Formats: sequence, structure tokens, C-alpha cells
Amino acid sequence: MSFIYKASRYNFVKEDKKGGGKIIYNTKTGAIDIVEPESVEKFDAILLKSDSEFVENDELYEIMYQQGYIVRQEKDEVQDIIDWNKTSSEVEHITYLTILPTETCNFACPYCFIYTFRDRHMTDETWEALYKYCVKFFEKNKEKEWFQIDLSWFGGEPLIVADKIMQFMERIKELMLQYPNARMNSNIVTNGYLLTYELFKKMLDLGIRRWQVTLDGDAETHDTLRTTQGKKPTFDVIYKNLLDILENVPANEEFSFAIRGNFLRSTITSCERLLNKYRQDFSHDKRFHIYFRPVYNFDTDRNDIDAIDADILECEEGVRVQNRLSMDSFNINHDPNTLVRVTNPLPEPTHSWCTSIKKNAHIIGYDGSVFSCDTMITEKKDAVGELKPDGSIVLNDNAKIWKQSIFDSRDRWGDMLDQCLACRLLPVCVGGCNRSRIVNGKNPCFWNDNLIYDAMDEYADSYQ
Amino acid sequence: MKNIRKGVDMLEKATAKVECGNFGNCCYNTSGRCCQK
Repeated sequence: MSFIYKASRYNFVKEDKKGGGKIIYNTKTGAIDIVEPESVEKFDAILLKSDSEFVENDELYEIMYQQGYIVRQEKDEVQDIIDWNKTSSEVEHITYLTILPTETCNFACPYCFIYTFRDRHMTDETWEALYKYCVKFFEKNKEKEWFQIDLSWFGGEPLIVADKIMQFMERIKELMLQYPNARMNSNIVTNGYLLTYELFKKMLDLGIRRWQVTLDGDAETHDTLRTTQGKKPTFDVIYKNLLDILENVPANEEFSFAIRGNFLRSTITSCERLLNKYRQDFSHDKRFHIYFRPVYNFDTDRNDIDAIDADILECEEGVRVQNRLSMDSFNINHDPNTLVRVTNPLPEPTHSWCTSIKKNAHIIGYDGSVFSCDTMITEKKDAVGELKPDGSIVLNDNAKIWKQSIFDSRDRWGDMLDQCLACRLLPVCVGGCNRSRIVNGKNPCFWNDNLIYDAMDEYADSYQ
Repeated sequence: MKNIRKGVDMLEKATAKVECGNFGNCCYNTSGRCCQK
């Protein structure tokens, strides 16, 4: 059945300098294609002839429609984004719990975002309340075709209380036996210092299948930034742990292991050396991947970040470096359709910038305080609610700001919302970081058109 | 056309099973702010 089409408002198109054709990327579908030189004329004509009749059974028309480069004339693409944001935020049968089993850490990284170090482990009462929350969630959803609990172990350094985490995971595994429709995802963000192969395997067997360990470049820079509290170097211990896991874990175990590299202006070269080391040691095992991110400066009650403040990159500069390192880490065997989102230099569309606005997403502090933002997790004044002993979560007035999407708050964000609604990057940003907007009072634009075009160039170069 | 990455229907995925898992929050975006640890 034929229809009138128009060009998507979310297309980015540019010359493919190396191949002679064009490259097109659509932020709403995440699609990327290279247009060969011989097809350029027809491709341009299809986009220019917007508001014309779609030509059925024409391969180029069909591909451009499937990829979202052209859409039906009546399609309201902006409304689609508002709808997907709202639908995913209100899903009841998935709950996302980011758990702080301890606020203690064995490291002393100068850029740590914890506002005040309080050295507290999660109380027994909070562990019990958390379990009861899970039981309530399972009971509420048991008639559904499926439901899912997503447990993220954060902190502090979570492996300091690995036994507590494993006890909890045992209980959840037992609970799941009573609920055949239940699914669980679990991941952990750890500094890797205590992560022996034996501990990794035990936690893997309990269902923790997504891992992240951070290395700040190779030993030369890592050991100046990520020391123990007693200022001892940590690189060799962590890297040995990672190699032990690589060498011992059975080939049939399914998991995903991210090595994250934080970089400063002065440590970029060291991150390049780390990347080479990683390539030699890990790149044959596709369960491992590596990505790099600039250090951000978060407000805390300490001044330890002052020593590196001048070395922190501005946002755009940081994104350029992270993209370059991402492209360098592309292995020719990597399939861009299955690349982990964080490692992809051309952003994929997202339901929301993060999980913070989701109705069923909660960050649980050691004392049962419930937070919304991963980077504001220790001050009670920032809490959006409380986990009660019976497992219920009661939200407070902060939630009225923090748990709302930009689309729900026209009164608060009027002009900023209008800018977002007009922006071609809305599908990959969806209003951006809540913390930045609420705390700084301005739109937290992370991407810009130039960064996108430059990343497209790099893609085109890589896929010739 | 040489396909590099297939397009997805995000509306369709809005209520789908979450397969990827995330690190803190930051599987959702590319800033990496959320899990700077």
C-alpha cells in the first residue's frame, strides 16, 4: 500500500570524503548507512522529494523507510519520543534497583563524587527491607507473562561487603524459584582490587553477569590517581585479577565485562598505552570490552579534586577524545549492531538519559534512604524517599522534581523544553542529565552537531 | 546502500525485557557521568 512520505527530521547526512558517496545517520532509530557514489543522486532525490508518493518495491525506498530516514507524512516523530519516554518510565513490571551495600571504599580517587565519606555499611534492617521490597514486587507482578528485577551493585566499593551481596543474591535466587515468570539482571561496578577469580566465579554463578572495573590508563598514571586509602599503587593487583578471570573463566559462561578508563588531559597517552595492552591481552574474548570517559568534576565537601582540576577536559574536548579512543578500540570483528551502548561513538536512541526518572528505579542507600541520581547518593537532603521496614518505598517532595521527565514539567522548563523539542539530538538525549538541569538551571547539552558529523566521518573511514 | 547499523523502533522496545543490564545508570547514555568510580 503506497503512502505519502517525508524525510525524517532526525537525519544527519554528510559527504563520505574517502568513499565518494554519502553517510547518513538517524538519531531516532540509530541507523547508519553509507550511500555508494552511484546511488547518491537517487538518494538525494528521495530526500528532496519529501511529501511525494513512496515507491513500493524499490530497494532504496524500502531501505530508507526501514531505517527511518523517510517516514509517513502523518508521522509525529517528536510525539513518538515523548511517548517512548513516558511508556518506558511508567513500566510496572521491571524494577531497577541500584544498591549501595556500603559507602566505604578502599581507594582514595581524587574525583570521587561521594559528597561526604561516612564509612557506613548497609544496615541489617535495610537489607531486610530491600528483600521485602523484592517480595512485594514479585507478588504484585506474578500474574504477568514476565517481570524483571535489575540489581546494580554500586557503592562505595561493593566488594568490601561481597559476602552480604552474595547472601542477598542467594535469597533472590531462592525467591525466583517460586516465581517462574521472574527474570533477573544483575551488574556490579567495582574497582577490581578485591576481585579474585574465585570471587568473580561465585558472584557470576549467583547471577551477576555485567561487570565494570576502572583503570586510569596504564600503571604510570593509574597508580597516581587510583591508590588505596594508604596511597599504595593498585594497577598490578587489578590487572592480575582481570587476567586471572580471563584465563580461568569457562568459555561457555555468558557475561559482559567492561574495563572503563577515566582520563584527564595529561593521561590520554597513558590510556592509549592501556588500550594497546588491552588489545594484546583481552581483545580475543568478546565478553570483554573497553571504553574511555573524561573525568568530571562533582561538588563534594573535600578539596582533593583541586589538585587535578586544571587537568579536567571541557565537555566537547572530552567527547572528542572518548570518541577517538572508541574508534581506536573498534576491532574489525566487532559488529556495530551488537556493540555495547557505552562503547559506541555514534549514540543510539534512548528511552531516557538515565533511569532516574523511571517510576520503578530506585537507588537504595545504606540506611534505606532512596535516591534518584547515581552521583547524589549520600546526603539525606537529596533523598527522594525512604525504604520502609515493610519493603514499601515512600517518596517525598524531592521526587516531584527528580522523578519527572522534562516533558512532564513545562511550567518548570518551558524555554529549555522548547529547545529540546526542536533539537535533532532529542532521541539520543531525551532532555539530558537531570542533575545538570536541576542544579545548574540550564540545558545539559552533551552532544552537538559538529561532534556527530565528526563521528560520522570516523565511521565512514572505518567501514570503507 | 551499505548498512552499518540497523535502525530500531524505540517505541516497540519501551516495555521490552532489558537484556543489556547497565552500570549504575550509564548504559543509557554516553556521558559516563553516572558511574565515574
